[in-house]
Amino acid sequence: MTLCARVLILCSVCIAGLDAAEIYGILPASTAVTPWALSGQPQTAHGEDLYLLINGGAELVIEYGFQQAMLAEYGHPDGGRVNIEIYEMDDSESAYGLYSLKKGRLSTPWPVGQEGALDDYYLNVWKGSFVITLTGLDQRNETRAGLKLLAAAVSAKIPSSGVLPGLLEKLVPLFVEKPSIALIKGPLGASNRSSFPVYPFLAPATGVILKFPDGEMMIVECSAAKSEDEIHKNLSAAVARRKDLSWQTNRDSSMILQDRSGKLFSMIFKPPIFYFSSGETALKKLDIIRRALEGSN
Amino acid sequence: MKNKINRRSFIKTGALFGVTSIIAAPTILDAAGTPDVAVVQGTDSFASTLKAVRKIGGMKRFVKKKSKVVVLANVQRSNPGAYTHPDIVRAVIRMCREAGAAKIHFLSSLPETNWESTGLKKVLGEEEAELIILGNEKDLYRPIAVEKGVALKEARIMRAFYDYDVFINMPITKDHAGNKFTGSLKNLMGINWPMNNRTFHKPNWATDPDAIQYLDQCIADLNTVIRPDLCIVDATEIIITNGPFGPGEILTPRKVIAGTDRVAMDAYCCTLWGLDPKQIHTIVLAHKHGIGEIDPKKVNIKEFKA
Repeated sequence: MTLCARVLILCSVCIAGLDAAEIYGILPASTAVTPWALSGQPQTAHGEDLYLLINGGAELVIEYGFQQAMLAEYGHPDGGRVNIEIYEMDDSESAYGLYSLKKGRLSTPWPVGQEGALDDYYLNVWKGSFVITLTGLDQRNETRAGLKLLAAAVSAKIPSSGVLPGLLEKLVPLFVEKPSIALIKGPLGASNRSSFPVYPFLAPATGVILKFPDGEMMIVECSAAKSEDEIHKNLSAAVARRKDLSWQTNRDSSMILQDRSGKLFSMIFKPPIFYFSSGETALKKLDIIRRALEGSN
Repeated sequence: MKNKINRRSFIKTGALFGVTSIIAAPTILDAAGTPDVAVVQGTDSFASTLKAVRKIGGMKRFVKKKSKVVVLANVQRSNPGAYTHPDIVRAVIRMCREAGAAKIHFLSSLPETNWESTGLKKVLGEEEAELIILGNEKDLYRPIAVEKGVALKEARIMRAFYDYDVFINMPITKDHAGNKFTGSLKNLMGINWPMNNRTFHKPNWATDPDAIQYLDQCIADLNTVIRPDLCIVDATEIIITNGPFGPGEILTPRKVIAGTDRVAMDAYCCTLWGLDPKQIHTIVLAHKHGIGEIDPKKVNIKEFKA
């Protein structure tokens, strides 16, 4: 059976809790995305085999809780090309986390899946436990239109949906001007988005990083196993290794640091939540955020 | 190769005597005015590449007549700014041919699909260079003791790699999810066994505060046993977020960088998007190993227009 035939048959299969072969079924049939058509053979990976498919950067996807992935390319008769990456993650929180990291800082919301983010030449989609990334490989107008067409077709093949992670549900309503928000589930995601290496001392934990024009805020829900003393001790040791920082306050629950330029960094641990803030906007928002999170705990 | 009579025979001899570390400080040309690193900016990447290599002494400095050349390009993904540009690869093949190379081979452990979708397979075909794709079978990779390794004690390098006289490293510089930066140093993971590359991550990497630095240390360690004769870095169109796979935010410095000092070249490249080389662990650790110079004041880097 040819690959295209296999794709067409599997396209009609209901997708829920996909096994290895069924991820092919998410690819849209050419009849649904005319005149776009699958070009070449899709590549797939399961679990740690992702290292072989994504030679560099796979660990970030695995950190979020990875199940399987498929890479495919679609072509337009006039020469346009679009790469499609489909990632099935452990659950919708894992998928949202990866999506939040992959979408661009200046992306525009796009109505596809549960949430879509359109950038210059690519489109990221979150739906249930899936993340879909579509990349236009040229500047043609039909390629940009193709991104949207293919995204909608792939998304329609995913019947499941998920809920926004709890931390985000509480945080998002607090902002009129939405900051760039990333959900983190491990040290790579944290180091990718945060300029300050505090997360590894809190791991394993889920958190969010909010980026503002003048700084950032990291909010992490620590496991019960992390004691206040342990976190304080580890952070103090880490700061001691940084020659560019000096203490303003160093108490168990509240630590304030200053760098050489005078910029302030605040760290507060109110178990189980740890807050790291830098820059004026984050520091100003800290009280409101703490009330929203701690008030509901 | 000016500084090595025959790298292949040296490695073979070294292996016999249990000597595997072939690192040495980068060669500094004695010709007055020749830069250690040449940076050429222009919209024509092919022309920029020719000029960058010419400015550091020309391809004949590195490729002698009848020598066998192996090239390591980055074919990560066909996403924009994520792979070595075909025009740069074409220019390098032509220069090697003109210098009298008997063979020009590209080694890869990534599938042919990547070479097709990036347009690099077409270029190799047109320029009559050969693409050799290795599988992931352990036997295809030779165990190499990393004597100076702080974290990495054994590398597994493609056996085929040792069949050549000249090694040209051709990365694209870009963002990396783990290290924040990738360039000449990290590209060498491309000739190491993919399964061995996994050991660059600590078993408990998800919770160990030192895990990311461990990866950086492994990359620096790997660089102590492999030395490219020439590095040509693509900094024409690069992703500065969501690397190394992309898609991500694109920067277009339109630069091609040629030289032999991997550390100096990486230190230069990371500044293209505002990173401080002293904050990039791989660069710092490679410098500590004596692989190259991190201080730009101690390196003769010259910039040119194409």
